[in-house]
Amino acid sequence: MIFPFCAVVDQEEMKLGLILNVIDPSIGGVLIMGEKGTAKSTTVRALADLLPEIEVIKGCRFNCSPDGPFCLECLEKKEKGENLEVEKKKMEVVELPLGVTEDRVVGTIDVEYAITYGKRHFEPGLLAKANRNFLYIDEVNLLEDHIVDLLLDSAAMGINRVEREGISFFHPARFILVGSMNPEEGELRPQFLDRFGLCVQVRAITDKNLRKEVLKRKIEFDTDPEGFLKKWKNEQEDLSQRIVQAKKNLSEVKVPEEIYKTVVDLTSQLNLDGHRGDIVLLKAAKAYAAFNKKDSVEKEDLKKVVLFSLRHRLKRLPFEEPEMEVKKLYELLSIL
Amino acid sequence: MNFYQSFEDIFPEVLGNITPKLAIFLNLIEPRCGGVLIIGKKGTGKSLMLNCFKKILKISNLPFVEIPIGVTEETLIGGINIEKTIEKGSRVFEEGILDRAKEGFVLIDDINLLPDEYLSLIFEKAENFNLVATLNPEEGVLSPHFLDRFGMCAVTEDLKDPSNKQKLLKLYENNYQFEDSFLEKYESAIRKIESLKVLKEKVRVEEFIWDKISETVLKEFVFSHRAEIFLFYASLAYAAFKGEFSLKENHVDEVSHLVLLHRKREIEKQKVSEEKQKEEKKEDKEDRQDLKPSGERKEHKKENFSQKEKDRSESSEESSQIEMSFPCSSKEEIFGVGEVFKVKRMIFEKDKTIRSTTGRRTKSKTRLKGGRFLRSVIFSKDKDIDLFGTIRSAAPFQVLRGRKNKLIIYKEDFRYKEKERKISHVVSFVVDGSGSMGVQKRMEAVKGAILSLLMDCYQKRDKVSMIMFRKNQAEVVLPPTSSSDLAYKKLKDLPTGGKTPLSLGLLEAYKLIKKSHLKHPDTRIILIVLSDGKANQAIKSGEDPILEVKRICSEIGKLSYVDSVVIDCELKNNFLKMDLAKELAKWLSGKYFLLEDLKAENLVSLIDQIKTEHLESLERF
Repeated sequence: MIFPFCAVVDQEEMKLGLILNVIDPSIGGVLIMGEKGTAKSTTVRALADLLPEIEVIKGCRFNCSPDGPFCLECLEKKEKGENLEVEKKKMEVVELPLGVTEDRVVGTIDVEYAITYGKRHFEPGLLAKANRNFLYIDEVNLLEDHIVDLLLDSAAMGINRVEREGISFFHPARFILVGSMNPEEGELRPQFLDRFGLCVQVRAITDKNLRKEVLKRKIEFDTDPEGFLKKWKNEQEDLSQRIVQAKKNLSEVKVPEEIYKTVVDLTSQLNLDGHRGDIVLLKAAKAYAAFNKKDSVEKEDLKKVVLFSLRHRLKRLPFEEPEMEVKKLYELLSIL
Repeated sequence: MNFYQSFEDIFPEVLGNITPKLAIFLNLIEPRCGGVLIIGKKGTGKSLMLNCFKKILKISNLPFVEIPIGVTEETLIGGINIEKTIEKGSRVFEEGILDRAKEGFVLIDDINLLPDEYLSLIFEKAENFNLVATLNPEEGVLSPHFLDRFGMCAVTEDLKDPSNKQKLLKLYENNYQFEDSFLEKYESAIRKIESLKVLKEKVRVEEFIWDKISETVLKEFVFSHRAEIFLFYASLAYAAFKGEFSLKENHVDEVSHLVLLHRKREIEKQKVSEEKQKEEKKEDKEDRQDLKPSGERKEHKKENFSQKEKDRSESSEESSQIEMSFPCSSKEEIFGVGEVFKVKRMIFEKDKTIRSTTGRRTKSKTRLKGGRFLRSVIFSKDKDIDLFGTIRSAAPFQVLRGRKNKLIIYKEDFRYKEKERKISHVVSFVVDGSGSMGVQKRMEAVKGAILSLLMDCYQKRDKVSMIMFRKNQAEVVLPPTSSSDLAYKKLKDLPTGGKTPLSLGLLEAYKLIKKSHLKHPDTRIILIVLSDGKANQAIKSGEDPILEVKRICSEIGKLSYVDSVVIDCELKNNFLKMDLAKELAKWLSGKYFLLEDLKAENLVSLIDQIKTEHLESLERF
């Protein structure tokens, strides 16, 4: 039993950031900054549970979609003219533990097997499991650098390619990357920060009544999970429908010329490095417009998403404190 | 039966220690309390308590597993059993310890000795089981996000009451068999737990209790929602334990310390005091803008501390004036950060350990897939096949084996790769903040040097930690972290002034090194001491401070996994030049650099140094 998404109290920024990524996975993931025990992983799990089932090719170890892209195994089957059956599957949250090895992330080509049997044998890793699912990394700032590198590479390319001793293998790896970190425990390097699409902040709830609500809902869920789920069913279904609809409508959302201009104005005034900020900002705004059933992006949409699209890109060098830039961002926002 | 007496009966082997007993008991009544962490110094009965807990589980047939400290990843989460695979000819998977724990209890003794990676593996699955662990704070602590996962935390203490101590002596005088002793008492305790489990379901919860719980948690500046959830269940179990049918406010109060102890945060308190300091800063706007050699935007702050602080430093100065043998200013100042430069490369020798970490500083043999191929070997634990080596060793026998078209390879042909790859270190800075470092703004240059070294560590992916010693104390300003950022923030605010307890600083470093070695036996540690070596304060009063330094240095020098570097911060044009830091480097059997020579461009001097050393060694012949 998974706690219902709609029953998570407050934390609107995190919820919105996650939803936008579901609507448009090319936004490139969410980094959740916040303290321990603030329902970060609960929310991610809840969202995966909320979403409708996805169609996958039956028996595929990589959750290939019937519409492609396909993994090497499915491609081979297709070439042989085999009929690919389709089945429905619930979305999962694949968790990546700290201290995970490279092999467990990308999977392994079994060279020993290849030599003895003359066949290619691929043992899927976590990226295979994460294809078309959520990949969740708790305390991403404590993860070894080379693993983060690997993940971000795959996330950007949408494909996982393994090469070992001249034997190669690839499969699609399109996942929604969700990282969480507590800045008190050390920062993530600016290069890595930049590669997360959005960066949302989870605030500690200090309001007594809200906290009470959190506690009560949790205990209610613990004692009678079925009753609790029933209570939230309508709200859950509405939201699920809304997200599915937004996903469908996304490509039809128009972007007026002035919005392009506003985005570029904003990012150039902030002296951002690279263009990822611009792109993410626009995509997020578009997804937000789609979520609100609009057919074109408005300034209001930009305003709503600008903070978590750019916040983590303001700091460019290690040992630099981005306070000035953050101030500037707020100033620019007030003019917008 | 009286409240305390009932606890004597629960774990008869352990005397006193009511709170840990209560925590374990509540956790048994209501496993949703979220597990127990038992904290205590050595010999206070932590492991004993865990054993008693195990005994209860055994007698009542509850599922549990124990995780030993030397556990490997495969045994923890499962993997391929190689022996069985070879025997059967098909892959045989074996489930890990954690899989066996399904819905039961997981016991870990000395949890702080497990590497963080394993802890994260364990906590990832923590929803499926209830964790009970012990921790000895003398050997390192857990990071806050791991602590937060424990529902309750209780401290074991030495017995204070002499009559209890005598009782303990009598109890342990005859080495009785643990397994069979007190069986009756255990059985009655288990019966009690069973009845309380039933009772617990009947406890009524009034509306005001929710408010009470939220208030209690907020009062301690705890923001994790886990606190409230666990507090609720703990109170519920406690109410049942007290035999009451409704949850009352005093129940919450009486168990709140169990849930909140490990979640209270020092930081919040610090923030409050920092804000106060800021206000004071505003009051005396004496910030001078000096010309900086590098022309950077760094500012030099001269700060007047609060009157209290001043008084304290003055009084401590007075009391120890007689011992003073080196010049030191009594003023307390915070210097800005001086010039930042590219640090000269320091090379440390390779050792023989095979590691699975990465980084960018020193080369080491590696277990990871990447890395530079060194040689082909017949035996390897890591099963990373060297294809060419394997074919090469199979080639001569092909005719003999009757090859037709496919290469025939036997098991004995397999060759494996030995590789090397760069690793990172834990770099431990020991910084002298005594008054002598404040002379002619020496501290500015030192801070600049540390920042330069931090940059270097950041690029080489080292973990850093920082120890500051001055006045009468040495303090771990920053426990090992991979965030050089954090180190920089701490560095900026380091004050200077007071005497030089060098030996205390080194002792603190020694402890820190030992701790991190216990936790990560593979990691190499670099100790960087920034000081002028003018120790003038001993740990024991009356001791010769220099002698003390020498003793601790030789202890550190014995540790094979530590490389030491001494950076001499003395002003060499000063007439009081004493070159004590050079001695320090010798005692540590470490490298020695002058602060000025750290820069990468300073190649000439290095070459000169090597030349003279070379000449000296020639002369000896």
